[in-house]
Amino acid sequence: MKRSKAQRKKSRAGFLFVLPWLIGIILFFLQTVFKLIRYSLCDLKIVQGSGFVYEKLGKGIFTNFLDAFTGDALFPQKLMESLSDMLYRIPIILVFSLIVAIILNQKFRGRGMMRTIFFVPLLISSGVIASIIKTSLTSTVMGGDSSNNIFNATLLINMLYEFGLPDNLVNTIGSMVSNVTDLVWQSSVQIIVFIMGLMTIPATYYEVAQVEGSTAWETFWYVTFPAVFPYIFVNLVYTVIDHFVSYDNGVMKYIMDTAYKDFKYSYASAMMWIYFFIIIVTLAAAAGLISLISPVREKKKGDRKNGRRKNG
Amino acid sequence: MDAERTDNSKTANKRQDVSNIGVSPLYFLGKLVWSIVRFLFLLGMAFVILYPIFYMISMSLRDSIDMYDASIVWIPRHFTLENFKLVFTAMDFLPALKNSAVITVVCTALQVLVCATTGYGLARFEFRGKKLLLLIVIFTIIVPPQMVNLPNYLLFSDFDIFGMIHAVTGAETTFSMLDQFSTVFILAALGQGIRSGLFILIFYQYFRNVPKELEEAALIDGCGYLKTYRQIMLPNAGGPIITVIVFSAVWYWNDYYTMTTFFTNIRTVSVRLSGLSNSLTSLMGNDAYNPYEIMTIQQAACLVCLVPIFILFAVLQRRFSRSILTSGLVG
Repeated sequence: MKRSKAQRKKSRAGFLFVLPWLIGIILFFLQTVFKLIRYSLCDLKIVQGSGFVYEKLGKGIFTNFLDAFTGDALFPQKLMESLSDMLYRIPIILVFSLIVAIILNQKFRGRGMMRTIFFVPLLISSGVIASIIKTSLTSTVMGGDSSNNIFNATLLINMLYEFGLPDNLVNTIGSMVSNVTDLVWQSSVQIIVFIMGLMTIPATYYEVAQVEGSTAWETFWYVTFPAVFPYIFVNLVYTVIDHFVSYDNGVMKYIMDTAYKDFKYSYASAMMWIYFFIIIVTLAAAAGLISLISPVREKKKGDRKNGRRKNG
Repeated sequence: MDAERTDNSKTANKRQDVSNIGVSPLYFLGKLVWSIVRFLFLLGMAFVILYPIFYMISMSLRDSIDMYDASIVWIPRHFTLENFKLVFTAMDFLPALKNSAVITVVCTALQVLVCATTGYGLARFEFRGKKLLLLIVIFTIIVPPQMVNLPNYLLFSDFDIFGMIHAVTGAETTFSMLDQFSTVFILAALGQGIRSGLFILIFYQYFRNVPKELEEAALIDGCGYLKTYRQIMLPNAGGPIITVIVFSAVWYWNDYYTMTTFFTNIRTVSVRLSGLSNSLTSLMGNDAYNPYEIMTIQQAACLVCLVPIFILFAVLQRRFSRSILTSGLVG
């Protein structure tokens, strides 16, 4: 009886911790969500004098949703492009950012400076600056070709040509370099989050591993990976939304243009919900795949021996 | 501490079947090769990342005459600081800087506080509906902020909480919350700021993986839940706190869409930056319009906008390395 009272007190305390955020959710987020649902189920029109007017849709309340697949040739196509692009992007970004984070967590001279440098993409790519640099770089003598990248490899490619390398090789190197560049510019948040995860590992763990003579590979799987694992999910969520919700994304651009240029806000809301549902499914599938490599199962084996586990 | 023992015994189990290569010369050779590879890799990355920065510096320091000369690639022939002077007048820089600084500092502080508290509550307590709340956290991250802007704008343009304000004060009409700093402050304070969901997730994952012992000891010693959180859990969460400060500050500093949704008179640095080419054209008059000149001034403006937030990171970065010590206490 006493115990359940204490438990009740604890759960009430937990609720109080969450309360401010919950108020915000109820006041702002849920209102917004309901409004967006309402928009998508009717036809929102701006009438002069009386502001926004909701009109009933002719062919049932789901007309907007059906239109997205049957009446619109562009939307499904853009959706597929965006999805297939995502499929190879998620694993590459996650692995790349983990590798960079591990390197930046090692001890070497100039580490602080390198970390500051890797912070620059976050600073530049999230703002107005990115669009200014892109337009500027592509329109001046330094740029030349009209690729979408902030950095492009023209300078390097020209240099390699002058060394007299064969065309094929130069092209391969050029595309590799610009792909890597793309990666760096898209993974600075993930790198910082992974570094944070790595820093929760006490230095003593590595010392013990070294004294016990474990290989680098074993140290990675038994010390580094379990500590970083919880943040793989964080980075997964971020990678997915960063790709899907960015202003460069074809689908997002299409939705925004429909909403704010054609003023078909209702149809845009309907497309947004479809898109939203697809993102959720993608995320759930990716999270499921990642949980397959969870260190928890390996820990469970250890559990029987040691009686407790470290990471959940 | 217990977790450490786990690892000890695990590596001890491993010892039998792993040959000890810790002292062989091959090991040192491997280390040498690795540090060379690492150096080259980082050098390449640094070049790729800093390329636009060098470009900005080179552009901003040159007179627009240099743009017509194809032989000038990096080092300007007509060196000038005129671009920076123009930036300050055209952007109305100091008031914009003040606005940006107020919004960034206050919102970041509120966001860190609320997200850490929420993350802690979700990670360390069991209560009914917790799973649903976690799902909502993910939802808030995924819903595109661009779509939320219009409903939010409508909400704040005639602000009333479910008609409550109307009922209490008896005022006839609702009032507009637009063009006030408090709008973004309220959103940040209630965990609805820019990417708050992501920050809650970061704190959630962090607190969930902190060993229970420390907290339990504090509770047994008679610390209340709030005191345990404030005096033991929060001070040890240096890593996630600094991470979230960095993200939040950068995203508020760079934000353009939220600021233009809620404000028309309060202009932040990034809003000024995006309107720079227009204000330059009107400043110089149509006759003197020179796209190259505008380009050089824009690059100077980018640099000026980057500097404050860059300094913040360079300062925090030192703490970032230092917080290994504090999180070591917990782990």
